[in-house]
Amino acid sequence: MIIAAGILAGRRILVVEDQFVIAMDLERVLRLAGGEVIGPVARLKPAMVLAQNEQFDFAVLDVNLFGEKVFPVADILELRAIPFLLTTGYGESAVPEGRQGWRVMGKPYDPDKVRDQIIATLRN
Amino acid sequence: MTKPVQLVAIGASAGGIEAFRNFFGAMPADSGMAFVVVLHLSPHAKSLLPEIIGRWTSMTVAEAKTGDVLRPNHVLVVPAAVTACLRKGILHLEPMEKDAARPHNPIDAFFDSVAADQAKSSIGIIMSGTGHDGSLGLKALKLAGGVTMAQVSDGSVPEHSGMPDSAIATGFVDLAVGADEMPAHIIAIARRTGEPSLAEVSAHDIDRARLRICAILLEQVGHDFSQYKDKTFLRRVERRMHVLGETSLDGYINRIELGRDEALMLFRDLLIGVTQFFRDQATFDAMEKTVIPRLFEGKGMADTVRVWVPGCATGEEAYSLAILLREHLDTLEDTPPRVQIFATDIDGSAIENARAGLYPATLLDKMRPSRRARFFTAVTNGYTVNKEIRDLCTFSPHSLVRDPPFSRMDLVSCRNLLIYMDNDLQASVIPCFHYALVKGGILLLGSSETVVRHEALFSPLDKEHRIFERREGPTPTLRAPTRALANGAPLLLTQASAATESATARRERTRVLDRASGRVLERFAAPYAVVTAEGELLHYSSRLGNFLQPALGAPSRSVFDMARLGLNLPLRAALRTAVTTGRPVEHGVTIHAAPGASRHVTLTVESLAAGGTEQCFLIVFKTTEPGGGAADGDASRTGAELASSDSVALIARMDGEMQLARDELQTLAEEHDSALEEVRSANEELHSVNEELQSSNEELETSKEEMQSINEELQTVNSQLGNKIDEVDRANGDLKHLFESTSVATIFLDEHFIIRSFTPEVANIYNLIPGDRGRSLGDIVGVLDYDGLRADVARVLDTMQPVERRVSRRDRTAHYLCRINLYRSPAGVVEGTLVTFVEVTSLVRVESQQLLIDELNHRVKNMLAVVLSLATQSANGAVSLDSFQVAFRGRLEALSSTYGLLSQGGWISVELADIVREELRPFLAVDGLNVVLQGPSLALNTNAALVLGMVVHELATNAVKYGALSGPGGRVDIVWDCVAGRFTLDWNESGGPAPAASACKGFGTTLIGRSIEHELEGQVSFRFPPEGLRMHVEAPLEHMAHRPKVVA
Repeated sequence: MIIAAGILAGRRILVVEDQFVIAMDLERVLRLAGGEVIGPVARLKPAMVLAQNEQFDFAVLDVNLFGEKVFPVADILELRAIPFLLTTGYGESAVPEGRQGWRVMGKPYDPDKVRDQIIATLRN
Repeated sequence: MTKPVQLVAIGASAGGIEAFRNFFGAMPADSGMAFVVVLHLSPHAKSLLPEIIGRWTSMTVAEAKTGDVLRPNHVLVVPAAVTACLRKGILHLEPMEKDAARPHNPIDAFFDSVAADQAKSSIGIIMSGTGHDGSLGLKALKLAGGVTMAQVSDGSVPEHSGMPDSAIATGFVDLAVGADEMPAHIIAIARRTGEPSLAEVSAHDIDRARLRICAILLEQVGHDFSQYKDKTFLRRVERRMHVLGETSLDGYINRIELGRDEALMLFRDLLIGVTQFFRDQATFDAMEKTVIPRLFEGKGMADTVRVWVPGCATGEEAYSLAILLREHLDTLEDTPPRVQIFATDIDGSAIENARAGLYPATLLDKMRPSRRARFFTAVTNGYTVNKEIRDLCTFSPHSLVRDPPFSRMDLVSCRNLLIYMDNDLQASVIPCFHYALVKGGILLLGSSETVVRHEALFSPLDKEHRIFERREGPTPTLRAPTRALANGAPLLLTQASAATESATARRERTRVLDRASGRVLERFAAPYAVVTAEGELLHYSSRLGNFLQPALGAPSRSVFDMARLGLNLPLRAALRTAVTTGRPVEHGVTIHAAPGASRHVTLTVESLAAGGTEQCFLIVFKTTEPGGGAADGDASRTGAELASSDSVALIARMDGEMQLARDELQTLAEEHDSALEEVRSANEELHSVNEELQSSNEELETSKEEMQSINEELQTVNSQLGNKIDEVDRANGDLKHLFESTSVATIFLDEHFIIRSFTPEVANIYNLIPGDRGRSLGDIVGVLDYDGLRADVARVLDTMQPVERRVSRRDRTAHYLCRINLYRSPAGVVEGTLVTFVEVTSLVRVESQQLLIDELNHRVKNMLAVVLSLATQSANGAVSLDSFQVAFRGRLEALSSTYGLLSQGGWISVELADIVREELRPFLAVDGLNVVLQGPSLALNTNAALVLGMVVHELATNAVKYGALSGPGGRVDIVWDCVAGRFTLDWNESGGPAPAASACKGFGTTLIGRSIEHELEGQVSFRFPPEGLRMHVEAPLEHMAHRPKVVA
């Protein structure tokens, strides 16, 4: 897929991912599309601080952060009406009860697909 | 069609004269009715009755002859020694049979013929008399539609109440009144005979009235007659109206509404005919077909078919059954069993009737002629039961309620007795039948009776005909027979207390004697005696010695025995005359005490009319001197005169004496007859006493058998109890073993958390010993990490809901499922709680394995994601496919070797030194001196191990390509330390080519920097002095060191 360079220009995207290799890959792809990456952060606490205080347009959240669940961050984002995408190796069942509306992408994923989803979401 | 003359048929016996006087005295001479009087008297007694009655009425009174027709205002008196009957309004007299063995009941016979001839226009009356003649005749008359009456004591008429009482006891008497009240009733009834009957009332009104009457009866006597046939029902109602003089149905309804008495009378009327032969033919047909053959099943010659007919009344039911059984016996080919029918009734006079087995012809009307011919013998006044039937039956007085029941019966037929009983009484009688019957015995009840409320004891065999089969099972305790039949039972109409009666009689007698002595003193002042009609002495006056003397032999109270020579016969004659005529008698007697010393005595016998039970007679002895005034007269006469007058006087005197002697002879003959009669009746009584003794004997044997059977039952019950105890023991043992083997630790607690009991398995959890029963569980220290037990137990008791909880030992070596349930007693009362601990350690392990698998899945996917990213980024940093291949494979191998170490460490921790050594192993020199490791032991967590493994790999690859390990002589020092929560690591190369700073700006360094910063939150710095590459890492220990996790 050929992406127009700068399609995410001016967009800020929070990346929460405990695996630095994956985070790096995603960051690279988002940068190539012109986006600005907040983080990436690997742990829940800094992720929550960022989620509370930073201005951004989208978030990619890994569900499992060194054994901790990322859901409190998702809750904050929901309150702030910031769209986000959960990524997980557990599959869709990782989404807790009552939050079935949350979008999930199973690991391993192609970072390009994540980028495309972000683009599609922000376009709407 | 002309109406037949209204007939009033009157039966009486001893004491009847008095009753006739009262009756005819009150009867107007122009009533327009015909009267026929039948006396139950000795066949030889000459009757003066026509003359006697003639004194009290102006109607024509005549002795009856064959061919007489009934004429209004005429009284016909049937003479003794004949049997009278009425055929088509004409009297027929037949000489009485000479068969003395057979009881002679002329009243029954006559009433029976009236019943057959013109019952509807007849009234039957039973007056004073002994015995029971007339009862069956009255019954026949009433069944045929006649009106019946019986005399009761009206307070003044002394009488013998045997006959009327027997008649009343049958329940077939419409009116029981005094003799002087009867005429008024009779006239009222006669006047109404022509009045409109119910036939002229509209059917709708009749039906409405019928239902209303049924409702009242149900309310007042507790029986439902709505199922009765309309016609029968209305006929009874009509009769009662007729008797009472009620002309409208509404009037009659008012009457029964007001008084229970009339309701009872109607009730009794509705039940008449109860004891007809083969009453309810359909029932008997059913019996004949199904029940009777069953009774004989499996019975051999030595066995007996035993039948009990309680409440047999006059025996028709018992004889009917006997006939059925006899007929069945005839069909059996070989050695039939014996048949015994025990027929009992509380009413002794009914039993007398039954024993006699003599029935008026009308009662046998409905019987098949073949049956009647075979089992009955026709006699002038009805039919007698033949011996072959009579011998099957034993009649005895017996009270269902008071006396112990019979037993081992094959059949109990108790029809139309229960309806007289209230519910309580029935409730005691039906178990009694259950007891009386053998296994599978049959109970036959009347058409409106049932065993409701006792279905447990009897099951219906034929619902329609009320045939029930005894259910197997123990008989409920028989109620102690203390109550007599309560209300509504006609069987108990006459039962007076003998003690009170004799006391009143005595008082009465004293009063009579006072009166007698007063009268004698004032009028005669002569010696006297007071005797009964039979001549028994009741009282002596003084100075009686000249007339009476103690008799030879045993002391006697008979005045005849004690009379001095010559006084005996005159006394008899005088007393007898006084008794029959009721008038004073004076009798002159000459006593020749010694030769020449004759005395003339005047006997005066006078009735002492008293209101009491017995008639007394006063005998006064007055001595008159022979000669006396007459002798003075003699002296003045001439000799011839004297001679002729002497002979005339002599003849006259002799004539007189002859007459006297004849009278005496007549008296003697009559007395002889009556004595004979008495002997006969004594003989009969002896027979019945014998029969009673036999039945008592039977009862005793039955009782003995009952005791035996009770004993056997007790033994059975005892052994059953023993078995039960064994079973309970076994069950207890089973439960104990069960508890011990299931390894379910169980503690029984009461409401206050006190230990009541526990199973041995509990010892693994709580250190309990048997002595701890009764202690609070809160006092016992357990190994469980479960402090909320007490609160949970309280919650269970509070909410009544069980609680389930997963608990573990404090040391986590075992896990339990603790379940707290309510403990209820068998009655359902909460008595505490039941705490069970089921060990689920293996389950918990399996669960954690499942978690592990989930985790593994997650990690594999995560790793794949890492590999994918590594591949992408390695490809981005590579200049050629070959270099990508080398770099990518190297990185994968590094990852793989770290994972290898991790899996050896159980995915928990791994030593830093091991990781470094593993990553550097491919590059070690032969002597191994080109790499030096130095630092404390540090257990890394998984993440830190992977990061540091990657870092070391990138550094080593770089050192081999461009640094200290690229040639011989180079060396790498790796030094780490942990100080104040911070981790430091230094990678120092030496002895290699001088590094070019730019060379290190590749993907490798980026990877190192990003990984340390990102995942360990640390910093990395590179320096490039000429000796070789220097790298310094600093990071907080908290994200690296392995900390043993506490299992939640």
